[in-house]
Amino acid sequence: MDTSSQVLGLALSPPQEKPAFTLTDTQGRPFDFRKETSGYVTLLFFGYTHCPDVCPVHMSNIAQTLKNMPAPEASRIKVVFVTNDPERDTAPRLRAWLDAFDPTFIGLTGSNAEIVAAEAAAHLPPSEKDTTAGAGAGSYLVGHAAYVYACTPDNICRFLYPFGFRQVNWAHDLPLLVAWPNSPS
Amino acid sequence: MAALLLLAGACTARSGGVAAGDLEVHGAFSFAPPTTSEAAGYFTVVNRGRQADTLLRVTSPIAAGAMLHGQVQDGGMVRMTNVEAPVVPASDSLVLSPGGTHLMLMTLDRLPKPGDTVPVTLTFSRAGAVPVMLPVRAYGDAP
Repeated sequence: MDTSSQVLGLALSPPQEKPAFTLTDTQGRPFDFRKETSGYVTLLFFGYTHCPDVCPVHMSNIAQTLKNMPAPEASRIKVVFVTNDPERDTAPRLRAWLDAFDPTFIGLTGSNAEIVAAEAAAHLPPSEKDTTAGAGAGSYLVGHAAYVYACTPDNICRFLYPFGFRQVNWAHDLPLLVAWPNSPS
Repeated sequence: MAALLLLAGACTARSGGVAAGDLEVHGAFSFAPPTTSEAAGYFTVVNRGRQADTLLRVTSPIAAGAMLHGQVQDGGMVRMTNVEAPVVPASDSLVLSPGGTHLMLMTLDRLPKPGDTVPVTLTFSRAGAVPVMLPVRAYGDAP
């Protein structure tokens, strides 16, 4: 058995049906997550643009990996970033932040209740606004899921990618997810 | 001449870091931020002395504010806390790294790009003000 072709992401056990939720994209249009990403490898991450460490490292590693992949293969992957800080992450701010990584990345927002419901649909812990941390005067930090949640083209979510998952490993895994189910798990 | 060289040697640590008294700061870098509202910085402070020192504050001439955040991953969540005046114990170190404790620079007056350097000053209770240059890298894995 060729273990080098095995997916390195953490396997979700059991795999989960792709979550169903509708949020609002950066153009202000409703975005039906399950419908719009159907048939694509889908990488879903909940974060916020004032996050200086974990969120941009994940986004950058994915963006760089996609740039290094052949375009037809990269085009089979949709990256969806849902803000869990809708008060500060306006659509233009979310768009500008994502464009710094990859203009094809999809940015979604909604009400706090809608976002918490989307996190629950993805079986991820709800984000937590922490006003005791931050720089004071309305500043705050947001506790959030550390994982990128990954679904294969058959609309089943199978893997979690923790923080610290390196770019070389993304480059290993993303082609296997595109080729699913013809890649051994 | 020899004395001058010795003095210069005292200020430049072997690892390319910065030495100040018993402290050595090395491995400093910053990630090129997507916007000017926040940037992250990282460094390691090694205390080779017999007495603890305390990092009282961090300032940068290009940022309106700077603070340290601790970060823990717990049950799949990332939670951050403010880190006020961290102590660098004797014969120990303070390590900032992606996914862990990091320096957050706020409201930058320009957008640092890969290849730039971001100047910061670390002020310690014993070692005093230590100027450190953070080379700017593209976001990604830790070096």
